[in-house]
Amino acid sequence: MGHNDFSDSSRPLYIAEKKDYEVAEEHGGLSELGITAIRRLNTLGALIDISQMSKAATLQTIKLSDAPVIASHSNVRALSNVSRNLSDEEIDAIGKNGGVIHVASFGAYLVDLSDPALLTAIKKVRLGHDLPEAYSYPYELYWEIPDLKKRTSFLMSMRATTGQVRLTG
Amino acid sequence: MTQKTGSEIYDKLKKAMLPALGILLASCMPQQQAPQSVPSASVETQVEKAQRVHEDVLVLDAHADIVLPETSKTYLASDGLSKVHPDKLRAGKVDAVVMAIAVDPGPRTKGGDAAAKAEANAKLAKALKIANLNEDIVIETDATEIRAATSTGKNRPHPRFSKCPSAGWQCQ
Repeated sequence: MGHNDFSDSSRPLYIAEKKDYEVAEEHGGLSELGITAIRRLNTLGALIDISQMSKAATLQTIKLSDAPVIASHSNVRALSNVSRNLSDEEIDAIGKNGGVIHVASFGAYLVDLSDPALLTAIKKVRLGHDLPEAYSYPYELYWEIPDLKKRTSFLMSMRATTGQVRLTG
Repeated sequence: MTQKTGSEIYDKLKKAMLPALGILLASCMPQQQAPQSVPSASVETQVEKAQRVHEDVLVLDAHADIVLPETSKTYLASDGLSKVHPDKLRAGKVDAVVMAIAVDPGPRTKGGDAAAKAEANAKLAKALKIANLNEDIVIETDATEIRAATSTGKNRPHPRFSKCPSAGWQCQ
């Protein structure tokens, strides 16, 4: 979670003091250090995992890598539009690269977010519990709710809204 | 701890663990349950087929978080144990798990780098400890070793790490 010196993340970090996320992109994908790391990993024969990378970083990594990559735990964004999941472009690129995608049976990444009414309901629950409207998955940042009763209320409300229980990510 | 022969060990479920710079979830999958309203014959056939495939392939969980004492309980299963506790891997017949030496986000400073390195080393030590405490778990670092360690019928010497897997690793 969060951008680092190597790459941008598919889940920008939430800065509690600012009550907002960090910038959407820090490097525009991979940094110079990240590009060097990909080359070094190829040299060492390491398997590169693109799960958690931003879309730009993922596509750059696939283009750069001499070896197939894997997504160790990512799902399909077209079915569940959370930022951690893979776009069709990324999925096709991994396929052409000879890579593998391990689908994660993690409820938060499997919510069908295609229904506008559901998106509205999720937004209402989040804003009603003082969480940012933006999220990579509906439960995200529940841990930032300091009051335990309010946190429980959020979890129960989101469970009722999405039908999903899983909390960690 | 009783010393087991190679064949005895390989009669048990074989597993390999790969410390990795990355993140898994097969063990988090809900248990297969036949829907009660569906005729049992066809469902059982599907379940049997799934079980056969499960037995035939090398079942690999590509990403598992390593749980430290200070890890948030939200990362644990409802029984309070790791989602990839060895007993669960045996029960689920999981052959291999990539244990993620992943660190939490932190300040990109010397202090932050030191804290991240300490966390990474603690997770590596935990992975090594799991292997050391379980006769049927080994740590492997390449695909050939994993296939060898998980293939039945081969009395390959049980590779155990009595020292660091490679130079530069900090092990305990």
